Amino acid sequence: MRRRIRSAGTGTGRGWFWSAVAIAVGVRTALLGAGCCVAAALWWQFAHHGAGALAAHGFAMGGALVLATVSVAGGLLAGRSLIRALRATIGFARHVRRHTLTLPSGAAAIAGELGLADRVAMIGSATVFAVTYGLSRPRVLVSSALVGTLEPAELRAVLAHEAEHVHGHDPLRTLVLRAVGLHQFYLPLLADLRKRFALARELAADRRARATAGTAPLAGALLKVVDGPVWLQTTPTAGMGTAAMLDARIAQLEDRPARATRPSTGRLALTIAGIVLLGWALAGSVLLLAITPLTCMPSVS
Amino acid sequence: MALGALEREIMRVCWQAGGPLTVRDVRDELNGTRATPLAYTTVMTVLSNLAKKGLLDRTHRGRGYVYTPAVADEAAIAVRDVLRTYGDAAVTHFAEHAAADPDLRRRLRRLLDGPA
Repeated sequence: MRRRIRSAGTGTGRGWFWSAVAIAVGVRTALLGAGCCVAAALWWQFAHHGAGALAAHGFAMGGALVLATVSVAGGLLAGRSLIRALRATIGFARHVRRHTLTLPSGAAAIAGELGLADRVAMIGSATVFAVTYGLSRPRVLVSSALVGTLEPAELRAVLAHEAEHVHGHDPLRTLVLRAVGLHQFYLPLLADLRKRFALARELAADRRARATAGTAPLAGALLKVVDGPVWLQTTPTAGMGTAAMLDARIAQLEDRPARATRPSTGRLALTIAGIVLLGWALAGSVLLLAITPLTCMPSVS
Repeated sequence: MALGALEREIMRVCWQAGGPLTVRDVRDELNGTRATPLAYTTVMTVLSNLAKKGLLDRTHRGRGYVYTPAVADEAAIAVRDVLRTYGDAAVTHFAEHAAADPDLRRRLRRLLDGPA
């Protein structure tokens, strides 16, 4: 009988995820929805007035051009990034399937107890690591060094942590956030929402691990993984800085509140500027649509 | 990240060595089994490229450099490439290297020794 993997506790990051998705999708939808009509209106203006359209309706034309550019460029770049990520994920899964080794019976038993039977793969590597991957049916990949180095209780802590990521479909949710939020460079605070989601998920996963295996085994596992070589350090993109996230995770284990993280003044200022720019672009686009006699839009005589 | 045949050979030499190697050390090891010996400059160029790709660490020693592997094996290269190229889009991982933060390690050791 397959055991259902249940999520652990409150504060699971759901709020951050849906907030980020709602804002990003809302902005993207507004841009795309306006983009088609704006493009048509721009075409009509240039076709009938040439470059003189810019002189005659500077505010409207400028706003519309910005909106059209941001909409098209952002959509194309996000689509390209999504396709690359999907291909990388498929390639990664294929690589794992080709190099999978048999999980030792002890580790397999722990995985089964945690509802991860047939969801844990092991590949031969001298580096201690554990990752959750896969979009539709997430799985856990561990290295032979991790299985060989960790004590059974520590391995239980790691697999319980990863079980939370499996249940939460975190690779898929992270990909969604990257796809909807990416390239909205005029709203840098969206990246902060993604970081908060990532942290919330790590803390939820640690709570599950602590409840399952205890604080000391989880701390021991963290120590063995973070003491490893730098190879696993990713390019900092959407995630928190390594030290800041680890600090927050340790603070939770110590039953202390984490250091409050606020967005920098610069990012806040950039986001406000981005909202103002977007507002100007939308206002200009609405005005352009109002003064352009397109058959799909009512015109102002 | 696809490695060329010579790059792969050099990485194997470095993994097997278990310690820092100079260009001459790597060249001598490779030429021990080759019919056509490799030139010093060829080996030096490939080592330099591998260091730029982040697969080897390069440090000064005397008037030259010594090289040590920055990754443990080929499996590590493949996993790292996906994670580096696509960040956390495809995977979530248990923890990342804490990069010489003694305070974080100290706190983890304290938790390790404390009550469970």
